[in-house]
Amino acid sequence: MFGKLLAFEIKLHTSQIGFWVVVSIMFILGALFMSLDFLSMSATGERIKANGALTVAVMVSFFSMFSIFFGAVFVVGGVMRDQVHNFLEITHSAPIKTSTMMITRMVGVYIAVFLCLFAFVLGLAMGQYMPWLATESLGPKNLLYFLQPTLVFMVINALLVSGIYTAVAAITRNKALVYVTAIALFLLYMVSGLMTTQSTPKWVMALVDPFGANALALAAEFWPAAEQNTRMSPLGGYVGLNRLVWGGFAIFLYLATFKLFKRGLVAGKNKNAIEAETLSTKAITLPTAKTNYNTGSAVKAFWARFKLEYLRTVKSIPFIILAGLCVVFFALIVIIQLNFAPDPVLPTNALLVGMVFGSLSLPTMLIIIFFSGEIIWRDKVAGMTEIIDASPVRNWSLMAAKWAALMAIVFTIFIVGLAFGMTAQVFMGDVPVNPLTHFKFTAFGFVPTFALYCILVLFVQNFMPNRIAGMVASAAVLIFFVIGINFLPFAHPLMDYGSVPAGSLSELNGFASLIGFKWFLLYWGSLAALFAVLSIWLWRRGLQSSLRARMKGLRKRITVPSIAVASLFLASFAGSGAYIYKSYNIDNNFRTAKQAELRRGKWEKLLGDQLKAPIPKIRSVDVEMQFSPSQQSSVVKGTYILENANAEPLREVYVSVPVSHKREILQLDIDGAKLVTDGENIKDLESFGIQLFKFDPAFMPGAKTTLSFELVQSPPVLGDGSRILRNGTFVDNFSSMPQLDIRDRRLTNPDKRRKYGLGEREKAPDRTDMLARQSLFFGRSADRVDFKAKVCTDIGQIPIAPGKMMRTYAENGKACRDYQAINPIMNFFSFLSADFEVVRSEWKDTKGLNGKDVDLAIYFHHEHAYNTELMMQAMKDSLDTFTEIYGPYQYNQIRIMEFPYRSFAQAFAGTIPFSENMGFVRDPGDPDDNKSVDLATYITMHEVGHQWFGHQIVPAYTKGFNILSEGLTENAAMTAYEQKLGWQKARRLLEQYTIQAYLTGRIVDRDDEPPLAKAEGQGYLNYNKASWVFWGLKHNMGEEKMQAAIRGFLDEYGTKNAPYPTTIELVNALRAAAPEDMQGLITDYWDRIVFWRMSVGGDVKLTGNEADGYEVSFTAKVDKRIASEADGKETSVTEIDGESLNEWVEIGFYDQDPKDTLGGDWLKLERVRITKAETELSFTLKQKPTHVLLDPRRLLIERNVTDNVKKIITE
Amino acid sequence: MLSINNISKSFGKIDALKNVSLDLDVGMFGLLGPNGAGKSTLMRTLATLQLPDSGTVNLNGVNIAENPDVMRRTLGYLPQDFGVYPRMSAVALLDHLAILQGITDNDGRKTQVESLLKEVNLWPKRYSAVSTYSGGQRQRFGVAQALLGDPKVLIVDEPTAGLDPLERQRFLNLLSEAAEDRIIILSTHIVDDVRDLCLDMAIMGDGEIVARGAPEDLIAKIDGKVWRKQVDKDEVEALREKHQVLKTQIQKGGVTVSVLADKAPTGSSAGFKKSAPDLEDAYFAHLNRFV
Repeated sequence: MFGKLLAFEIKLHTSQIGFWVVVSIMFILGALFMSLDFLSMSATGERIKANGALTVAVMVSFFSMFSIFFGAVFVVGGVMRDQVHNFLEITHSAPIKTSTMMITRMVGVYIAVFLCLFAFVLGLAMGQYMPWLATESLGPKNLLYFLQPTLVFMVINALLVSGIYTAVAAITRNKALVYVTAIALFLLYMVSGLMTTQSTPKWVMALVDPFGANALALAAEFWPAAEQNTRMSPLGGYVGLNRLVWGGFAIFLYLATFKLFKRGLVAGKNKNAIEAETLSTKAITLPTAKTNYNTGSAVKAFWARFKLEYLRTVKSIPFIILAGLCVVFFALIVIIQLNFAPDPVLPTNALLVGMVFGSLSLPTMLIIIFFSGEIIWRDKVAGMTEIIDASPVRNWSLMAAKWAALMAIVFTIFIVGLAFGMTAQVFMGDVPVNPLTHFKFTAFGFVPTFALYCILVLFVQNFMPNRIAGMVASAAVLIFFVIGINFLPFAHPLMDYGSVPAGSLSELNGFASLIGFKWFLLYWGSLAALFAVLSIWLWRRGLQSSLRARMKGLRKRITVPSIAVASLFLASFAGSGAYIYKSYNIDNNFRTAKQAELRRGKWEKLLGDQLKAPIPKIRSVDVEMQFSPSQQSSVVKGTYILENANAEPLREVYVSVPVSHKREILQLDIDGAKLVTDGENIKDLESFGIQLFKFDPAFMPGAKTTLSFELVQSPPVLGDGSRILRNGTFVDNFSSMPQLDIRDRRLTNPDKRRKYGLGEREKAPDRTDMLARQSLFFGRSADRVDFKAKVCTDIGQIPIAPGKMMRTYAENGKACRDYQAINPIMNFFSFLSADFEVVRSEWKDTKGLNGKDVDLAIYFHHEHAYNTELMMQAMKDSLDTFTEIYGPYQYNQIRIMEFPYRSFAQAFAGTIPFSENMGFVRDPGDPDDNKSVDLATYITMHEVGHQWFGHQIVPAYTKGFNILSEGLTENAAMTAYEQKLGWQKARRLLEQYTIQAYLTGRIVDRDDEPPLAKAEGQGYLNYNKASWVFWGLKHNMGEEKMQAAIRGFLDEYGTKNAPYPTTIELVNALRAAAPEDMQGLITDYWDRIVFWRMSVGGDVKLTGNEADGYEVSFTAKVDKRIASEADGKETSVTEIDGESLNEWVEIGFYDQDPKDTLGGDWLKLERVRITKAETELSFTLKQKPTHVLLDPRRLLIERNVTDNVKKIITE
Repeated sequence: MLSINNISKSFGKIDALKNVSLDLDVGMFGLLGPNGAGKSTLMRTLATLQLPDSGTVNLNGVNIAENPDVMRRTLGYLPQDFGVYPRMSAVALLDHLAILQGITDNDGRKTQVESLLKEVNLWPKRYSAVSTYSGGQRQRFGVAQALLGDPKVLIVDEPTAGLDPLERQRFLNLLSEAAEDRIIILSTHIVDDVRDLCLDMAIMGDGEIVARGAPEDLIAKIDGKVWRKQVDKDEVEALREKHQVLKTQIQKGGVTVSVLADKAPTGSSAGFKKSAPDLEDAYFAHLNRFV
């Protein structure tokens, strides 16, 4: 009996077409996710193989989450079908044991879910054979890599999902609640994903993902590439915990369902008891009525239907639950972003409304998918179609009511979100609410797009045979247009349905330009209107409403007025589309991602050599920048004095001009050279923005000449924005003035280079290349330049350029300022113009360190005054620290200026633009709170530090160049930060930023990691590893010694011209200052990739007492592993000939758990020399210790420090 | 005047309607036939819910396939099966349907809804959700909505199913009152419903109209040809093979068999008594093509 019933269940599931649809989709997804590199979840390519063990395991565990969706459908068919199909009274009164009935159904659902998930695994396996998968991305094909995660993850995940749904279905007997559970589960899953980005305890993070993907990621956190390819998921540890907990929960659910399931009818679900009625027997009269069939009555019918659809949805339990979930989702995100991020932001208007919609986007789309089905199929499900369709109500009334209702529901969610956003902002109290900002963002950024999505989904429903198919199709379509289209290499904005780009919202400048918004709104709006007309034509009316029948009956539905209207919309759609295409592709230079890639390859073939060809040097810059912010345009005019500083004469020079169209070059001349206008490559050169000049006679070595230019930045048009903003313009010289350095446009992604046959990526020159050392890292076109500028802008704004402000005046109805640099600056500068508030102060050298007085000024947006005092103080503190340690500041002033959008800060000579989302609105936290990180202060210190490292020290363009700029600056910033805020806070910053960023950054790099001294563009090296190394070095060799070495390096190479310094010179300086027994450490830090592994082996023995003192003994296990540059494969030094352990290790003793102070607050700090893999150590202490911690200050590069600490257990 | 001309409709291999023609005028018209005869298909076609494969239906000379509005504006339709939106009160739902029927005047509509609910005796329960009504109450609601807007064509499909005897009586009374000046098509498989009320009827079987006329005319065709006899259960099969059996009724003691024959059956089947035919006899006679 059991066997037969189970077979029936399985047959029931597998005979549904929906089942096979899901199986096919999962299979295809598997094949795609294995074989397409841009879909890979972990930067697979040559280093991390697409079919490596960890990659496969992560995918298998993560994709289990799709069962959230189809699990709901299967359980309705498997467990609820009796009542859904009104068969319940018959089946439940049959002579089957309840347990048999329940178990066979549960098992049936489980098998169906599991088979669908397994189809994904099969797809993954098949994906290995796809012809478009590059062979370099494939490792050895190993069946176990697929089977093991299936058993470890998928089996239990299927059990869990089926268990949840079975419980909900069997106990609530409410189909709608089952579907709501699907959405709720999905949202909860997303939220749990959010929580894992902040600093929660690891075991919590391991458990928070019920499908185990996160636990696996934690377990494999620091596995290098080689291990990721071959090592399968561990069965214990985080993964084991996760599997145990969730597997146990699944089983619990099944047992609970078993116990709580009630056979038969459930009270309350049946019709009420029928009361006896007395019916009157008097005569009947039928009332007469006046009927109208005009437009007015159609509108009234529309309104009645709209109210019905809207109110029924909004008052339904699924909606209330989902809306509630939306609010919860939003609240969680706000709380996390504003409180638990280590660097929280202040709740400004733009930020908060951005958060509202950031968190509501996904739930709203789920609501659209779910309720479009509810609304469209409502009448059919209720059984009212016959009555409604036999009435004279118009098709358009019915259709428009449904469409309007769905959109009204979305707007309701938005309004609720807005209300919550504004309330939250008021509640937090820091920033006054500006409702206009909230509404503007909503109206431009969200309403049009989501209205368009509603319409698309409703249109799709016309073609779907039932509700479930409708929901699946809607989901597929939305996923494509929201996510999928970004991956299409040939994507064009005209294909991106629903995308109505208003851009980011800035509190300084609002929306940058609404031109694109208006045109795309017209374009997509016309299409949406066309959809509406088509939908009326194809409206399901009456019975026999298959698509074919409706198509046959189309002729009758198409009336002349509707054709006229449809033609109008079609014309509008086509017309606006044509105009957009013309603007983007013909008038301006739009390129798809694929075309852009190809162009870069073409560029390399055409101009790659020019990157090394000799060019003149700019010696002086004299420029006049005329801003017209109200028109969003500018004119820049100026001259360069050029000198040929090469040994040979120059016959030609390539000038790169940053304009969109040739007509924007009003003047470009070089004395003694002529512009080349014909030649085989001239057109191509021009398309890359390059003008070629030939010198005749040749430009002799040592000679000088003048380059004169006048360029225009035109106001924004469709397809071509403008860098000049109405408020908050920030342009640098690279983007506004002619350049002699040609910007390197070569492709850097090694997999792409292979694809286009471009050869290996050329690495930066070796540090010993003396020719390379003649040029500094910013470009070969200048050493330092004399700088003079006149900047004018609209009255009411302040124009800013680097240098000393010489005078302020009005000219031709514009506000102008003249600036001049008192000493030469690098050829890298910026111009700003905005309606600024200004605070000023002064720094004076109070310690007699030869420092000049420095004028300090902060230019900011009037609403963003929160941190200006803090930043001003940070400038002063950094000037104090840096003048003392590194020497005087070289300019007269430091200016910090706020600019809109973006999220970075940049250090020009004496001028530091800071984006509005950086320091100005960061919540610095309580200075006494050791757990908070004050980024406003830190970044200010970093940018001020750059004035020494980056502007005094200017690195040569060789390997390791950015260490001398970013790395040394990070060290400087850490030093100033620690001096200001204390060791604990600095230690916190090291832990949460520097170390994390290095360890994760190196894993996702597609290229090989070089040793620190030879770093190129890797941020995780230049900023993070460098910072860590300086931290470690200063505590090892003594801070004063290290800083003095850096000072010496600065004195020798700073503010001098070629040859520019490299990391060789820096490391030599460090070596010279370090004792003999530190030289090995310096090699380990700088010249190789080394990871230390330390742990306390076994138990810690504690003897002694309070009177006599204590003795602590334990075994220290120390290993040093050198990583190969090619694949990160690590080898212990004990296995390499000629290498040995000879390490300085610090050991800390504590009387409380050192976790909270990150290793600070020690009773005693010892330093020992370790030469063996296992060393017995013994120490005496006066106080009783409870914990031992190896390398508490994290001076050594180590990944896993959880085993460095041991609690001392006393008998 | 509703004229149905040669309409046919198939669903795949099944021919639901085969060349059905009827001309209907004001008054109650009964369409009698067993389940599966095609009655509901015909009703739905008349209600403009589906199109015939061939043939036309004209209302007052207008082809309703081309102009469904002509029918819809004057139609009251009570489907065989219908559902309602859950958790919606009778007065709210009836008001909503009234708007769809084009009753836009707020006061007039309020009056309509009130009087209709009173007529079908749902006024005391008007604020309860229709989805909680008993079968009979829901049927009465269906009648109320069918009567919205004073329809000139009223189609009721199996309307007395699920009604208890008193409700059924009231319903049929209501219908016959209404038949004064409208076309009412009563489609049913219950002979008694048609017998008392309809002056005009048709018998439908297997998609075809097998008989048409006033009930007494249909009965008259088999006058004097109906013979009844009470026999034992086991004799029935033999009788079926030899004679045109109209119906068999189980009464205490045995089975009363009615057969259609010109003369009294003889021989082993002797013992039949001539009986006055009723509509049921005529129904079976026509249905089985004995006539």
